[in-house]
Amino acid sequence: MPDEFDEQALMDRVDGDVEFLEETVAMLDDDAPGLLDSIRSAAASGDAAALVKPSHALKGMVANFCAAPAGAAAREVEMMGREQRLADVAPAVEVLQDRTDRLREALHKFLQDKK
Amino acid sequence: MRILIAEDERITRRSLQRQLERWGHDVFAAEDGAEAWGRFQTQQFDIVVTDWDMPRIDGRELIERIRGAERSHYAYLIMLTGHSEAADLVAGMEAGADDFLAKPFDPNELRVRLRAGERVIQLERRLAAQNQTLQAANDRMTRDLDAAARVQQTLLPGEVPDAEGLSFAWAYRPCDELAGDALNVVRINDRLIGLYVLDVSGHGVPAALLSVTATRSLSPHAGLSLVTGPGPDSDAISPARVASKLNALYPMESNGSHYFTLMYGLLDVQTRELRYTCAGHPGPILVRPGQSQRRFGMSALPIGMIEGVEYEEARIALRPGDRLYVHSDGVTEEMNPADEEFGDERLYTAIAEGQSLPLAESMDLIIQRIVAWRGDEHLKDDVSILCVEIA
Repeated sequence: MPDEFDEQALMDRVDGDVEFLEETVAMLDDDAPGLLDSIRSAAASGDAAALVKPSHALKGMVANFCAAPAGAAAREVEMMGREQRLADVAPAVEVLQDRTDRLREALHKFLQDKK
Repeated sequence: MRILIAEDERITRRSLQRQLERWGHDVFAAEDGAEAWGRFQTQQFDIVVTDWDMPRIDGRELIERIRGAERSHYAYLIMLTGHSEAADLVAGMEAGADDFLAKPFDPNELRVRLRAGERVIQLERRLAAQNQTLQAANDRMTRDLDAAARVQQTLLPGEVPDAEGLSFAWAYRPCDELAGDALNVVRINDRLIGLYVLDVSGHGVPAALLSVTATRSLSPHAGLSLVTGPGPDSDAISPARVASKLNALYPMESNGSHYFTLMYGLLDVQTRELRYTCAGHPGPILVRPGQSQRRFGMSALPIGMIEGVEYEEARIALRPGDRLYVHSDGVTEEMNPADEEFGDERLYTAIAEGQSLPLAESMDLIIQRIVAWRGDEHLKDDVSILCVEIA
C-alpha cells in the first residue's frame, strides 16, 4: 500500500472504475504543474495573497485521490498565504512539490499494476 | 432531476458529473459561476451544486443571483466547502444555500443530500400546483365579484328626477368590491320623489345581496315594490309604512343575521316638504343659509332586527337655498390611524367648506376630507351620501 494515497478509499470513491481514474490522473498531470508554478512564483516574490488561490486549488485537486500527505502540504502553504507567514514558505513549497510529484508517480504505478 | 454543477476545479467537477450521471440525473457541469449563471437563466434546474471560490462569479454571488431571480420553480442549492471553511459555510447558508457538502465529497453523503433536496423540490412542486389552483379560483372569484360590482353600480341613480328648483347629487364609495350600502332618488309620481340611503350590517357578498334585494323592494317600478300602491298620496306609500313592510319582509333570521338601517323619504316637489323615516339610520342634516347645520335625529330600530316595529315619521319643510344631506354611518365612523372617528363636527365642517361649491363638488370635498382623515384610499366601511338642494 503506497504512502501517498489511500488505495482502498480511492477505489471505493471511483467505484473501481480504473478507466475513469486514468482520466482524472491525466487531468492531475495536466493541471498540477501549472498550479505549482504559480505557487513557486508567488512564494519567490513574497506575494502572500497570490499564494492562496493556487494552493487552495491544488488542495482540492489532490483530495480527489485520497492523498492526505499532498493535501496537508497544500493546506500548509495555503494557510501561510492566508496568514501572511512567509518566513518558512520556501521549504513548505518544496515539500508540496515533492509530495505532489510522488503522488503522481504512485498513481501511475497503481494504474499500471491494475492493467 | 436536472442538476447544475458550478466548479472550477475540473477533477472535482468531472467526478461530481460522473457520479450524478451514474445515478441517472441530467447534469450540466459549468466551469465557473458565470457559466453556471448563464445556464441557469436559460434552463430550469432542480438542484445546483456550487463551489465557493470560483473566478468571475463566486459561489456566494451565484447563490444570491439564483435566490434573487424570479423563477416559477424552486432550485435547491448545495454548497461545496472545505472542512476548514466554516465561515464560508455560514455565509453561504445566509446567502440562500439549502445545504452544504464537504470537499472532497463523499458519494454516500452526496446521495443523502440529493434525497433531501428531492423531497424539498417535490414539496415545492406540490405547493406550486396548489397555489396555481388557488390563484385560478381567486381569479375566477375576482371576475365574478367585478361583474357583481358592475351590476350593483347599475342600481345607483342613473338620471335623477327632473323637478324645477330641485337638484340632487350623490357620492358612493364601497370599501370592498361589493357594497352593503345603497342609495337612490326616484320619481314616485307627478307630485312625489322618493329618496333613500340604506346600509346593511356587515360586508361582502351576503351584505351586498341583501342590499340589492332591498333596493328592488324600494324601486317604484319593480313588481315587488313596497313604495307604491293605492292610497291617499297618489299611490305613494308613507315612509313609516314602507319601513314597517321592509321590516316584515327582511327579518334578520332569514338573511344570515344581517339587518339594515334606512333613511327613506318622500319629497313633495310642489310644497318642498320632506316626509321621512329613519330606521336605525343617521338622521338627515339640514344646511340652511345663515344658520348652523342641524341634524334631524330619530330613534328607531334597524330593519329586520325585531318583528312588529312601528316606525315614526317626521316632516321637514325645505326652503330655497336649503341643502339636505343624508348619509350612511361610514361617513362619521371612519377612523384615523389613532382610532378616532371622523364624527359629526368634522362632517359639518366639510359641509360648510363646500357650501359655496356646486352640489356635486361639495360631495367630492366631503369624500376627500374622509379619505384624508383615514390616511389612505381604502376606507373601512362603505360611504354613501345623498344631497338635495332647493334652488
